[in-house]
Amino acid sequence: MTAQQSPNPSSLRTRFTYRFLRALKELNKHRSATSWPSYRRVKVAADASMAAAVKSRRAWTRAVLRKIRRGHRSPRWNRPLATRELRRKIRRNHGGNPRKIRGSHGDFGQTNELRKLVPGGESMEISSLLGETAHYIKCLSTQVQVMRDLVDLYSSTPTS
Amino acid sequence: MSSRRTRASKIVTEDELNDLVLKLQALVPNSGSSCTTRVPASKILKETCKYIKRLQGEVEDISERLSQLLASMDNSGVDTDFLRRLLQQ
Repeated sequence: MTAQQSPNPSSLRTRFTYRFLRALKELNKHRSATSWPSYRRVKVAADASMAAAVKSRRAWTRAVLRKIRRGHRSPRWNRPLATRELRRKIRRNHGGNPRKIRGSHGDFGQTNELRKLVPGGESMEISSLLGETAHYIKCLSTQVQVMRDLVDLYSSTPTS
Repeated sequence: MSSRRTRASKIVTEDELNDLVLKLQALVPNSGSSCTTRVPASKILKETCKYIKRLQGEVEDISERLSQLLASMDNSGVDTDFLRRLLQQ
C-alpha cells in the first residue's frame, strides 16, 4: 500500500497550529485562579489537534480520535481502570497477543514494539503499519516543530 | 468497521515491504539512509521505534514547558497576534 498523497507540509502545519492555539485558548478560559491546566492537558490538546488536522484519513488518527472521545466521557487521568481494560493492559504488557502478529517475513518480527508506539498499530497489517508509521512520524515532527516555535514565541515575549 | 477487519486477501510481496521500509528509512535520522550498503530492515525498525519514542518524549517535555509558560502569563497570552506571527513563519 503506497502512501496516499500526503498533506502539503505547510498546510498541515497551519491547520495544526490553528487548532492547537484554539485549544489552548479554550484551556486558558477554564484556568482557575491558582493553577493552569496540567501539562497533560496541553499534551492531549496537541495530540488531538494534530489528529483532527489530518482528520480520519488515517488509521492512526482514527485511533487517536477514538481514544480521546472515550477519554472525554470519563477523563483517563481520573478514572480507575475497568476490569476489562485492566486485563487488556496486563496482557499487553506481557508481550501482547501473538496471534496479531502477521507475516512470516523474517525481519518483521521486530514490529511488536512499533505496534505499541503507533496509535492503532496493534491490529494493523504489516504493510499498513509501515505506511501509517511513516505518516505518523511526519505529523509528530511537525507537531514538535510548531510546539517548539510556540515555546520560543512565548519565552521571548515579556509578560505584561 | 473496515479498520477492524484484516485484509487477508491482499498479498504483499517482500519487495513491497522492503520498499515501505526504505521509505521509513528516509524519514528516520541516523538510519543509515546515506549509506550505500543495504541496511537490514530490523535495524531500520529499531531506529524508527527509537525516533518515535524520542519525538513523543519531546512532546511531553514541550507540553510541560508550555504549561508553565502559560501559567505565568496573563490571559492575553493566548491571542490571535501569536497566531498570525506563527503562521507567517
